[in-house]
Amino acid sequence: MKRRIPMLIVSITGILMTIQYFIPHPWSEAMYNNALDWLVIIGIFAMPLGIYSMIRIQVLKIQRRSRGWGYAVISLISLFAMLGLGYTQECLESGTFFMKIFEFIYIPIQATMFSLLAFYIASAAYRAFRARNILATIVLAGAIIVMLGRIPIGEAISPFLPDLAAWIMTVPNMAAQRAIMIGLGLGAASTAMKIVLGIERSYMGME
Amino acid sequence: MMNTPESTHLPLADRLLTIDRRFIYLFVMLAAVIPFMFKVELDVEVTPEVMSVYSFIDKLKPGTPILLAADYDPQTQAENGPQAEALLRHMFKNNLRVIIMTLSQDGAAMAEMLSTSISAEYNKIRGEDYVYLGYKPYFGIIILSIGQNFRISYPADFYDTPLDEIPMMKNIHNYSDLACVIQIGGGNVTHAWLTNAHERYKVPLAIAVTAVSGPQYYATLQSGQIFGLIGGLKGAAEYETLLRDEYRRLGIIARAIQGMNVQNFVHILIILLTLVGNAAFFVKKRQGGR
Repeated sequence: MKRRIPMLIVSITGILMTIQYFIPHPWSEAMYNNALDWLVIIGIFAMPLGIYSMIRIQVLKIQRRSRGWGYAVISLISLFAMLGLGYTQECLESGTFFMKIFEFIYIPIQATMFSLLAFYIASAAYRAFRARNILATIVLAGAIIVMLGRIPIGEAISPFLPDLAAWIMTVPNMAAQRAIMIGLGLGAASTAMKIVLGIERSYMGME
Repeated sequence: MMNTPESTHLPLADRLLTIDRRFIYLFVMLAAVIPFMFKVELDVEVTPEVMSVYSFIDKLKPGTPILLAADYDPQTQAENGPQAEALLRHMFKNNLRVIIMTLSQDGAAMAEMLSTSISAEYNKIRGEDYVYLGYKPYFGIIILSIGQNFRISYPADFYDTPLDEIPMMKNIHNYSDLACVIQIGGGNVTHAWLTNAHERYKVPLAIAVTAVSGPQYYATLQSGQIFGLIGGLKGAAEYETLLRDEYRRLGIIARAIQGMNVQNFVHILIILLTLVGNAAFFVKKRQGGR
């Protein structure tokens, strides 16, 4: 029973929503709107679950004095401080303390994390981007052309470079991307079908 | 690896291959910082994918409603920020009515800053010329629900004003009332806009994404699922080039064009590093090393 009822719900909902997509009738639209409301309601339950899970993990770390438990203390303090400060909607307006923390601490931290990529890419390019064989050489040449073609100095070197870079993006790149997308799409459709038909059960913690 | 006294006696190729990575970091830092000291206005060639976004917006009649989804977060602010600013300036310049929203959990405050700062440049009135809806979680559901009615997910705007009391929203209910959707962001949210908004409700869609995400959307551009693509800082610089007179009139620095100067240096540095690394690799290989 524990297995059959959830599987039955998933199968019926999956089949109904698939059929609904092709029926432009007010009843079908009403059912779709109801389903959307249900999705929002169910989704909201995930939020307190996530917060509880985070608090539990951090508290356990502190209790066990695990490696880096000090960071767990900072995480909890930050969580409750931001929750407290952000409790009122007005806090999101410019000039408030909440916004100052966001603007002058959170944004620079996030931007710094992302900008570190430039340093790692430069280091990786120097150490690992090698023309070891024909395929690697093609990738290397393509990367150099695109890098040059995407900057103004590339245009100054040769007006042909941006066109070549554009060709690489719109022909070989697009062909590869399209193949990946079609593969992903077919994979997603078949997985969805397996879930609806009850063949794929790993989402319920089953084999 | 650190340079040891022994390593200084190694052949040049070996020394190059074992260079301390902190030198590379230093070069990157210098390449990123030095260009900011020089004010250079570079010419940026405008690509057809950016031009089509500009042309689409430019042809809309004043008062046409348009949806700007600022779904980016602080991580990609350097690229998506100038894109959003340029797009919003173009929309306000043409007196379009803009609905701004975000589906990024870190984007609510940033989109609010964007809407208030750019609207102030054009003396636009909130509720009449533009609306800021704020952030709602579960992007897939929100995008789908807008297809039915904005009011399902957004009964009120960011400032808690009910949508029915906002004059601009009087005759705007769903995608069919909009000229198009311009989405700024990348990743799963962009895919959700493609599948849930464009494919299901056939709303014209254009996207502005980071340079890393850009290549994967050329297929959707060619298939006509999106009518335009602004990729990375280069795309933002192209848009600013198209709005150059407007930026001059406002006396505002074109941030993306300025940033292209930095990209010039960093790209050249990465190309040089790659070439030097390969040269050292081949010399070493010829000498019989691995």
